[in-house]
Amino acid sequence: MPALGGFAFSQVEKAAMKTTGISCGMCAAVSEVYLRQLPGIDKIRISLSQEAIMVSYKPGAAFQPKQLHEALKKTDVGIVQLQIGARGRIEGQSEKRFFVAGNDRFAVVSTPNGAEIPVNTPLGIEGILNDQAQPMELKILTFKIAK
Amino acid sequence: MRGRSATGITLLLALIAITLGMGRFSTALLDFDSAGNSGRLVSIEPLSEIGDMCLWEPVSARQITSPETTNLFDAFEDKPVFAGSQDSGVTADIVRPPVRNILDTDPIYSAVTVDTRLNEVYLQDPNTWSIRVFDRTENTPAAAARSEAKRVIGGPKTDVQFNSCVYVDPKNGDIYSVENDIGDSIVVFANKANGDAEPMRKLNVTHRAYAMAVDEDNDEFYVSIQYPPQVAIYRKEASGNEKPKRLIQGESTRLSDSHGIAIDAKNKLLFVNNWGNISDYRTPGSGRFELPSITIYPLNADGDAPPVRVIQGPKTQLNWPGAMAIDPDRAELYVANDMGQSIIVFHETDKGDLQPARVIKGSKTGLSYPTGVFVDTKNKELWAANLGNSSATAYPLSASGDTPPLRTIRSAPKGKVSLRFGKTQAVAYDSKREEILVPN
Repeated sequence: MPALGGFAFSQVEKAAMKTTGISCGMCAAVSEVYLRQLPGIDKIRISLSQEAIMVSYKPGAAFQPKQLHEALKKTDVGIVQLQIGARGRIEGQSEKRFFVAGNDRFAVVSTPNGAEIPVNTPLGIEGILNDQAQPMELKILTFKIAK
Repeated sequence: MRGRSATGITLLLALIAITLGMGRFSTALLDFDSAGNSGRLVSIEPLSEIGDMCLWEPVSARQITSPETTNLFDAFEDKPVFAGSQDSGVTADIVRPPVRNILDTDPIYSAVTVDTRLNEVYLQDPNTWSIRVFDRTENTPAAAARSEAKRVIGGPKTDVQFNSCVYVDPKNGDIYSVENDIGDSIVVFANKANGDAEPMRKLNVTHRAYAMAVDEDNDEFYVSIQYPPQVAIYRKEASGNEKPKRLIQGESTRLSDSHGIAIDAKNKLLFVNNWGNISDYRTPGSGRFELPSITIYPLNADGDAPPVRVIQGPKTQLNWPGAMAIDPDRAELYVANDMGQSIIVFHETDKGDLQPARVIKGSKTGLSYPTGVFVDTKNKELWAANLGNSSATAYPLSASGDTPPLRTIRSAPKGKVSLRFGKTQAVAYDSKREEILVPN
């Protein structure tokens, strides 16, 4: 995987999921067991109060949202919203911009307060992902230019 | 959760079993007499389906009013958490360093095998999650802290965790290792594998696999599964999710919490040892204990096959038997007798309640909670893997009684007693005796 100058891996580093059905320790434990079996998963954290799960990926790991859905489906847990934290860069023109993180490519549908994000500049972003769209759509909530 | 029964106190050990891989929860109900002792297993019952377990009040339904503007990662910001002020439901990493750690940094050995072609000993270490390779003639000097391994296979790519069995193919040197915890797999490495090596292949097997024995003549291997007790027979080259060619399983087999397994290819016999813990988790009240046993089957046994012979009874000295090995020349069966602190030897034709033909036991032997055993017919040596003192010990094949080892491979300072941690899942503090209790 190509590294951006002075930048670590360009990839989806973490995913946070707002869920339905994680309201007790047992559900959380079983969900963790199934998520732990997915390739590339590094850490898993679960917030019962927020009914949210965050997974972080190992360097170079592939981001596969379908696997997240399938793993949680085994315990009847649904994903209401999926967010990602990733390192990558914006490519393309003003109307059709993509955020590219390693092998993943997301169509950017909005930026925070319509901010202009510099193109071809190493970035760290957090945003809401519509992984059901083709290509996947990304609403960027925050971004930081890598130094 | 507590209640009172007519006979005394009933204690519900809630949710003790998260049977990984099966996605099931169970409760164990224990009944105690009025003095609070003599615990008796009443039943093990499956809980309701997971979806019914939670009093589900979907927080998401209440907070979903403007989810798009909420950055979920904020909920996972690192915050210090202190034991006295934990808020229910709050997730955070504990950043306060522990006052002290109880941790065994030395290897402990659950299994042993010898590659007689290359004169190398393979030791399975479930403490630091590795396979350690030594020269067969290595003998740690008394004054030395430890012997250093020639090679160590270990690391996240290896998938080696709480492994309980290691086997080296006598033809090509391939290394097989059985995972006994949540790995649910058998991994196979090339002979010269070293460090954080990826397995050449990996076979996913039933949860709680303990040991394997290989029928080299028929290119099959036999895997013992602790619970539900069974023996699964696979193609030797099996990998991925390949299913077993056949299963030995059922009431007639008399398998119960099966552990060690051995094959006599010459006489076409299969030996399995059993700890005697019996229950059908679907049937409340079905739990019972029997004495440990060794059940013997024809090598081609299949399905709910009854054993042709059973070795069982107080004279046998069987006590948490671990690995087993066969000496085909002498038609003898060697058993690593973990809690018996011994290696016990039976004739292959033995049956019923009888004394072992030989017992290797005593302070001179260096045995300490032996769980692994290997018979080296080429060099006429018997090897034991000692979980209790980070060592492997070699004896003459005819050893008996309190025999000192010919050689010892030691991986911790002499006299050190291993913590013997394995698959620790809970901890308790006994304030009366000021002791920490660690179930393994």
